[in-house]
Amino acid sequence: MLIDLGYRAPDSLEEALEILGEDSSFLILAGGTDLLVKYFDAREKMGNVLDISRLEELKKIVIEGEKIFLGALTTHEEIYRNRDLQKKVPFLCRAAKSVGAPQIRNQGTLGGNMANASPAADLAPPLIAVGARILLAGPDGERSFNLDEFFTGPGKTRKNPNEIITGVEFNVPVGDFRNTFLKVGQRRALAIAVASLAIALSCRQGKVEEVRLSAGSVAPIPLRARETEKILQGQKLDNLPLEKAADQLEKEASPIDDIRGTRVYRARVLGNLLRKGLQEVLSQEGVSENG
Amino acid sequence: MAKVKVNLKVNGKEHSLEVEAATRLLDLLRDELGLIGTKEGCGKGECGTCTVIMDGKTVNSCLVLAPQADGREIMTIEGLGSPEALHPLQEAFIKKGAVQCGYCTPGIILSAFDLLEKNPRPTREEIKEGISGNLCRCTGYVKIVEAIEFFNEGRGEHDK
Repeated sequence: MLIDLGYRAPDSLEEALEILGEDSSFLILAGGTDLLVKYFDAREKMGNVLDISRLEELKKIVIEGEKIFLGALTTHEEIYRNRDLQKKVPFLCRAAKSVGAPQIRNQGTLGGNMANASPAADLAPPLIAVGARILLAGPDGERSFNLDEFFTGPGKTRKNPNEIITGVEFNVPVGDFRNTFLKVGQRRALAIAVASLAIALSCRQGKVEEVRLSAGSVAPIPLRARETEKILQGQKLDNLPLEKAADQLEKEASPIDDIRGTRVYRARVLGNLLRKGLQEVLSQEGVSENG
Repeated sequence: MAKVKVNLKVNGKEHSLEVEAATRLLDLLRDELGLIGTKEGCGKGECGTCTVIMDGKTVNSCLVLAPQADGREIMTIEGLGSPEALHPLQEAFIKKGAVQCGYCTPGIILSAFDLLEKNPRPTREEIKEGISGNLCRCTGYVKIVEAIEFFNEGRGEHDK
């Protein structure tokens, strides 16, 4: 008997993986804020749709001390509103708040933001800067990647078509951890980043113990700026080589010209975001090392 | 695509429908249920004109597949007030001249209603943030914000 499998909405991850195991051509749909735009004038071309929006097991936020798991179906609004996340990783909440508008934040999910793999994905820079791993489940088992190695190009990732993103996990650095996320868009709401930057800085005895920088919309993938990190690593907080770092970051980026901004403008903005962002984190009250 | 069964509650009333899987919630509301107060603007989640409240959260109904609304509870502008008995928030929009062409109004009122449900005493900045997903090309927003503030002041007096 022929069964038309055009639309499936399983209740469990197990069932979803069974479906993908039999037919990996299913288009995986969660919040829909990217896919229904992509297929705006050709929804029939979506083909077989696997609606994962009912998978309760992917809706969890688990915070155990410094260890954090965010399920793939966590919405941007849930990230932005979560009080524990606001305390532990405020730059992630700021990035979530910068996405779209209330309606988009209520619908759009963390997993969708990763799977869509836009160079402008706002959650990617803070998650990369905090050293997140992305977790996948497929018919053949589970895999995970460091998020800074997950994206391979605009709209491309290392996820196989038969795999589902289940969430991200990371450890919040202990001690004096400071962070910020800055984004320049064309207006304050519903703006796709022209350039964005996440800074995660662990300080110890007045020096940069560890720094991670990740930038959006300035490379084919969310960029981890390792060379710029090296310039800041180990430096004294009261004498950071701001100009040298900003110059290096502009060099490390490879932005393009598009309708939102030019290559030259984006590089310049990115350097300025680093200057501004570092000044911001320097003025933040670090957690006392004894406290 | 296949036909899919969708059971949902709209403005307090249960509906059971069969729709093409590619149908959007927006189309279900307008074409199947005749609730044409929900408007289509851009169809791409940019303008907020198709805003409805789904399970207590505002969503762009152009970005929700109708089968995704199965088992959910939807509120449209028709669920807030009727031409005979407007909701006080709708009255406030009329009184303050916050409606010009009116096309964005249902979506803006639902965004404002949802904001006030969650934050009964918003600042002006919070009101602007609350309606930031809704475009209006006529008013310049000033009178819309004033109408929401006016409604809220009136409501404050009712509370006393």
